[in-house]
Amino acid sequence: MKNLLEVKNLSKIYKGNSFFGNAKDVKALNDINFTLKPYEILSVIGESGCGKSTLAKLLIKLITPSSGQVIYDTRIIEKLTKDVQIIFQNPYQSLSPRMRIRDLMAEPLFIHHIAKKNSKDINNRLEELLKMVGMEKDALERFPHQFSGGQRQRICIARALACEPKLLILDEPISSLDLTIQVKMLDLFLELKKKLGLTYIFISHNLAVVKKIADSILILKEGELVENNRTSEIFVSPKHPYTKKLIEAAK
Amino acid sequence: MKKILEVKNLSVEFRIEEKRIEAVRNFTLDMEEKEIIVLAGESGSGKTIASLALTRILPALAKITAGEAYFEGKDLFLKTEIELQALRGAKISYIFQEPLVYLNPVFKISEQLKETIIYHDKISPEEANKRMLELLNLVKIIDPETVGNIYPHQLSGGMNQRVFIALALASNPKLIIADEPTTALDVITEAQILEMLKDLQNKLGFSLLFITHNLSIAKKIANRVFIMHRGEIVESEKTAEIFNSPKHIHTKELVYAYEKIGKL
Repeated sequence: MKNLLEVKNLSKIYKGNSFFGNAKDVKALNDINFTLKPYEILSVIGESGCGKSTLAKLLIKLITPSSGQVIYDTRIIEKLTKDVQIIFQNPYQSLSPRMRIRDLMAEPLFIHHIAKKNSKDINNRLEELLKMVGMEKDALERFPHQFSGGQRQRICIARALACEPKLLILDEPISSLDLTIQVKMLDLFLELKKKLGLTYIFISHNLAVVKKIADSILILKEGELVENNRTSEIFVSPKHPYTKKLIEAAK
Repeated sequence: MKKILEVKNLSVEFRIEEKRIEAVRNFTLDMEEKEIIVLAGESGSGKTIASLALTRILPALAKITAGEAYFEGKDLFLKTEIELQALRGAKISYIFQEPLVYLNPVFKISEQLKETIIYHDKISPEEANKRMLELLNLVKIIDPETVGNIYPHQLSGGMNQRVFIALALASNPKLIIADEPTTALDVITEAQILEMLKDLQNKLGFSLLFITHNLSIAKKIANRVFIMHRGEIVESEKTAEIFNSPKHIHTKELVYAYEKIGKL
């Protein structure tokens, strides 16, 4: 099968930028290579500060790489595209507090010219999206603060699905939720994947979750890729000492 | 075994204009000396409010409406504000989720620790300095001299949490209430901090009330587990019992979540 995503020699250096001129450059990611097949779940694992989120932002071109390329379906990704969408960890920060859910969810449709501003179909589409993530349509007229963390994350998912993406990047999408809600959200992600034929890049620091859902795993440490293998291999015979340490800590 | 903490039928409600919301209802919990108890429940179940009510450091809108609480056999709710002040941070210490919120950004680690030590122990600055290094050693900070000399923002989340634990230990407390102290940390750091807390408990002999939504922590450290739901304790059992034969539906839910994604 053809690769859906190919990452080649991707690096990101955050330039030190200080008034006093003593700031150092930070090497957030160094020479990352991996590929992703369609309909698979690739998990990115690592401690805080290892470059997981930088990788997520690079993949959708929210930030520009210092070197290297991201090739999506044979095209080099130059700017934000509707085919690749992202869901962030903190739904409190990723939903504008002063917009109604209706406007939040419809915005990507306008940006990517999928629907016209006063089109009548929008309402049906938004209700359909909410239904997909297990929410009622009366949510449309409400504001983000009227929802719980789990509900807000559902709204973020609905918004990300609005322009029918092929690849979803999930940047710690359940880490800020209770364990019981995490289980429900995972089930939702798996269900949506099956129904819509999605491919996921699932960024997490929780090995137990990753073991349940991922086809392959990529382990990052201080910006370096230390191991990239199928999930079963990683857990049965981890190669890198850091991988072993991670598995040990999760036991 | 002597009881260190006994709470009976504690109720706390929030009063917002005319509305009354019961955050804690008939909360009953007992704790023996040197015991580690995990208080588990989803967010909003009232875990934190119940723990804050014990030393009356509740938010302004919350009021204790009923119940009794005894610490070392003495009634906590009969104590005056001054008496409680002498208890808080001394015999009863708290550790919270976000150390950076509670550490002062403009003072060095050493200054904050020494301030606390001198406040509780009334000792000279030199002795306090010695005690500070001892405490940083205790929480397994390598090179305490250097770490003492820098500011909280220069440390990682895990290191700050260690400093926060050192602060809580400064007064040799009898009871430590740890409210989700590892939730903001990644797995490796979480495992290290949990192991350290358990070691310290063993070494220093305090009792530990550990609040969390994650039952895998209970599995690792707890003697007994109390499960809370919508302000009430719905089940309390020895740790093995909770995992082997959960009775209440909400315990079952938490155990199910643990089985599914809480363990490898």
